[in-house]
Amino acid sequence: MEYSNPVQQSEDYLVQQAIQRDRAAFTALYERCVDQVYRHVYYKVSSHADAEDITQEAFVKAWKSIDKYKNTGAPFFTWMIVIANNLVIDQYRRQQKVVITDEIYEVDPHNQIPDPVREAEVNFDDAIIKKAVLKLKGDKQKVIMMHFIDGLTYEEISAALNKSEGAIRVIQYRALGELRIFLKRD
Amino acid sequence: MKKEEILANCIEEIRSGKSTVEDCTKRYPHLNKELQSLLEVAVLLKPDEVTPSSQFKERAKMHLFDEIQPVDATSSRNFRPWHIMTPAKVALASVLIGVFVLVFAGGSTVYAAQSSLPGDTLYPVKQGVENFQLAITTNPTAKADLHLKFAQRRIDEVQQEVKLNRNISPQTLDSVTKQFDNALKELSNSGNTKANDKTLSRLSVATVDQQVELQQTLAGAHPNSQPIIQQIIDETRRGNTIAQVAYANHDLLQNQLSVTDNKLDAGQFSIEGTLISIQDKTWNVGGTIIENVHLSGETPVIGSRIKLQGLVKDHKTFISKISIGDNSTEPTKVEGQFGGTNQNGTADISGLSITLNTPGNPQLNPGDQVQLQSGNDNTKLDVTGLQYDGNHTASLIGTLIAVDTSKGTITVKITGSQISVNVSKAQISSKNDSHHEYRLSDLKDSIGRDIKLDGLSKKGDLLYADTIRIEIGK
Repeated sequence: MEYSNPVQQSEDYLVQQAIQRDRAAFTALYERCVDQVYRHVYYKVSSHADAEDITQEAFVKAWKSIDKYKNTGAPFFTWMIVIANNLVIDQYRRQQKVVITDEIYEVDPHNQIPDPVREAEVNFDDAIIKKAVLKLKGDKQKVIMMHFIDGLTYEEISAALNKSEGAIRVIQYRALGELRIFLKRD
Repeated sequence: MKKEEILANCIEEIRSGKSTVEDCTKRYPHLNKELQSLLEVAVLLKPDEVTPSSQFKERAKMHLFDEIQPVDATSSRNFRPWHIMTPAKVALASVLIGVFVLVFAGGSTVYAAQSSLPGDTLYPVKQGVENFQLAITTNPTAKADLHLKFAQRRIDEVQQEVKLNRNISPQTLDSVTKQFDNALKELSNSGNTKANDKTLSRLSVATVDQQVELQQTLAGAHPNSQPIIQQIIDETRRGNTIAQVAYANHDLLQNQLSVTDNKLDAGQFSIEGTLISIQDKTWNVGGTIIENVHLSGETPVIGSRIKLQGLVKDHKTFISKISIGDNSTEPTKVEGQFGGTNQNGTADISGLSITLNTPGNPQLNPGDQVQLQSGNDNTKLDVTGLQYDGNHTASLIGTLIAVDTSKGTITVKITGSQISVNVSKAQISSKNDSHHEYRLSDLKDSIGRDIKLDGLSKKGDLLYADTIRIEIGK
């Protein structure tokens, strides 16, 4: 059941093996796309801590539901980001329930330690562009994210979204038009 | 060519460096303005230059490795090889078994071993796989995470064994202790404070859960097993104390910590008063001297009224929280555990030396939880509250961050994590006015304040509390 060097196997083969509950194959898939999943999630949540939690959970969820995976010809990564996106939405909903309050009275010594990593996370220009991208709805956001952030080709996006490449280009055209409006407004 | 295709082609050309926005727009004069504005937006879109840290990838992989073991298996209790082997041989054998089954037996044996309990045939396989995972993990924080995961497994096993009317062996207690203590040792070796914080945050939440679950398990356990389970509960409580203090003050991790150290129970204190002076590491708060203070973060201004919470361990005072209040003239207040009378006649309250106002005060016994307050003479304190607290129960102190009256739940933040607790049947009071009973909706006014939840229980995944006390009054 386990083979010598799963990293060198084709992605299709690894996915098929993983569906057969082959842990080594799934671990190889993890190795292949963890960076991409992380980058995609980080783009949406802008926090390393949250990106780590969500990426880790996405792979656990993927393993649990790998038998539901359908090969559409799109890279395995596109299936991973569907799972990761759902987790991002779950987290967003949870955070919306949290009331942020004025904690001036409380001085938590831990929070006073300067955190260069966190400070570096804030880049205002990028933040405005991200905000605009995340304002896009449905397929428009998906196409922009997949093409520009995840680096997928039109062919791969077309397979992932089950639409023709022509349709993907039309969506991209409209999405960029909307982004232009958002960015002018912001 | 359609305009969408022109745009797509131009984007590809620009991204591959074959063309520029200007070149492309010049080629399509009829689309000039529209194309230029869309391409200008397109060139702004790029991924963040981020990659996950290698520590995270290693940790996540181990977590994944752990999660992808199914738990459906039958077990047998006939063969107990460790009865005839020394502990060192058992440890070595279990690593070798782990390597052997991982290499040769494939998944099925490992799968089956995951649900085995102490005394089952496959239990050494489970231990072997765990030891193997530890052996191949080099990052200290990732290793600490594994130890904590295995501590959780031992605790889950205790609950399973009680359900099956099995006795809990003293080895189980040893194993829990070892996993917790090794995790703390690994954290002390890790220089990655951010990763440590995540682990400490998880530990503080997990140990609340563990205390509550084991408390519920204790009642149904065989009398022979109860003292062992009680000791495990004590260890999880101390694990919680360490996690909370170390999260706020990393210095604590450098002090040879063990969850068996019962001084951790006595060492927690709070003091409220005016910060009179700081000399070196010695603070004078409202007349009480606090020595060898370790603080992470800024030192408060002399003259301000402060509330300190912390832990005294090995004559060092680790501050876990500072609140700064108004410069009021209220009396000095201290809370902690009476440990006895020092040679110089002062009282030992959680390791702090306190001068008590002797006349009219009750006789204190070591282990008593006391509240003290200064009277007219600011240097001497009176006992204003006394509670014999020999039977520790799980409690949760954190910052109230949300109240949902429709569901009867509140959200409390501890060590950066959020915990939802059902408090629909809880009695709510304030520390400053214990006679007044509050309604759940009143709690909204206390968002941002510290609260203490007692009488914790669990049904399914949800935590319930019987009482809520607002620690800092309005």
